[in-house]
Amino acid sequence: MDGLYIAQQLINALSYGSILALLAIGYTMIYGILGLINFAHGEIFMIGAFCAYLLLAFGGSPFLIGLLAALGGAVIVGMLIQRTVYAPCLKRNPEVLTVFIASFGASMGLRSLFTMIFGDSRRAFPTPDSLEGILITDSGLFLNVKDIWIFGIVLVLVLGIALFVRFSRTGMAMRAVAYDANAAELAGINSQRIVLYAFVLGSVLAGVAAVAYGMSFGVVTPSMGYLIGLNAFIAAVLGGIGNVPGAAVGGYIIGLGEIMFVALLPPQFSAVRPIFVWMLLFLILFVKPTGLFRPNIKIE
Amino acid sequence: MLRMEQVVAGYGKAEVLHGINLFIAPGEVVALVGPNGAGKTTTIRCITGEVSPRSGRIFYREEDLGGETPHAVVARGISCAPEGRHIFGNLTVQENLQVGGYLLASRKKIRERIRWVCDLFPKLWERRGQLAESLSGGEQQMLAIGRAIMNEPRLLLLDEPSLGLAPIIVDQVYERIGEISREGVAILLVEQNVGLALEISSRTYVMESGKIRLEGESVDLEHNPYVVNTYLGVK
Repeated sequence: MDGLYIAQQLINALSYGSILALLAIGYTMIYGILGLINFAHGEIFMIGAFCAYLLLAFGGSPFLIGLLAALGGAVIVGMLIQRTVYAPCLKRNPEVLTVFIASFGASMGLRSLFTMIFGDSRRAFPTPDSLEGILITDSGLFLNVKDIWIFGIVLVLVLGIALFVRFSRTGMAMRAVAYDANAAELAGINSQRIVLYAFVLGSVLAGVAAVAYGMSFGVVTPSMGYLIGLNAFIAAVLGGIGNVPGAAVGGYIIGLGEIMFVALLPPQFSAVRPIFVWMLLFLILFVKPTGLFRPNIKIE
Repeated sequence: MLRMEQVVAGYGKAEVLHGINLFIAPGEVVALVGPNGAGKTTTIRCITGEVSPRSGRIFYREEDLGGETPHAVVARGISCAPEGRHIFGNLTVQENLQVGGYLLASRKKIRERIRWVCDLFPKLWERRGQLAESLSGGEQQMLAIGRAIMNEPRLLLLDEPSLGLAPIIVDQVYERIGEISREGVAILLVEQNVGLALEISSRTYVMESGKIRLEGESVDLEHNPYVVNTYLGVK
């Protein structure tokens, strides 16, 4: 086990970490603003991937159109879930448990619906040849061209969103609503609109993550959002809930950590990969429940 | 400028306000005093739109406020510094003020307004880069008031601005409230410290158990035997 091996594993984990980072931002924004865990976020991601897959595999569309379809599909599903599940639920019975179960139900319902329509088999996601290819460095590291694209685009997106939340008027309003929605209303902020913005923004990122997943893993399935969604949620907790840059960092830590965990253990242990994330979650909850960075919610 | 007519309101099964009538004229400072649980904060929340009255009406500049959401009420020119201050602890002092000016037209306008607020409360300028949660109680109250006047309100609702503050800080805060009033902003002041409220206001409503028990010019109420015995103590 040498440095080259570890470096190669880290490089292999970059795309996975990027996907987790994008999804974790969605979880953290919605949790911060609405105080609810949007378990259906993984399914928003999955449906985005299917939108791109259907257009690319059967419609023969250009790759960019597939990407836009993933964004559009994710946003529509995200807004639908907000309108038809969360808004009525919060209005009638804003108890944590009710919303929690509704969120779980939306997640399972969508996953089952897609399994019913498409079956549970893996479907090959077509990545254009122009994005395929491997670079080999002098030291012998292998770099997938598509992984470089994914990492680069995600980095720009994460930076952009972090700056937006930090400096823009809407971003500041988002942080204010996350901390105290009532006080934000009293400052003239339409908190319902901010909630909608958070869903739209989170879903856009889920759409990007969906295409990145398709490119990186080469397949889509109706259950693709389940485990990765949970991991991304834990990444959001790790980064300090409500903290957007924190969620991104959390995503990379979990993504890279998970891969390294498998890489450093003997091969027969590779099936215990999910355990790493749960161990990490327990560790966070025991040692520092607020996460690595400052949460952006009011802690009583 | 603001008129409440027979307003009845409450939470769940409990009725808190049993028919409140009050009015505030432009530029006037009106105090609303009374013991804990009398319904003072609920009255404020009816005006801000946080609580919907069960019956009765609230007029602002001769328009019915009924059913407006809080952010829409703010847009009409009514701002509130709520009880317990409710500043955004995760935001810096400057960001708190910027959020307070959310409805202002431009960044330039927000900057000018922040300068104006900080002229009034110089401490806020000194602390502008700090997280608001790191402020002292008095500074947080000043920030809550500063944030409320960012949107250039015509009517300012202040709920217990003296709560939990040292007397010397209370004096400072009240001095500033006087200055805001001299800018022509009408103020509805909810206050448990009745002596203080009578001093700064032109008219006062005394509220007990969800009803207006007494109302009148503050100078008269200061010598009203009931007010003296119940709220001011025998001097």
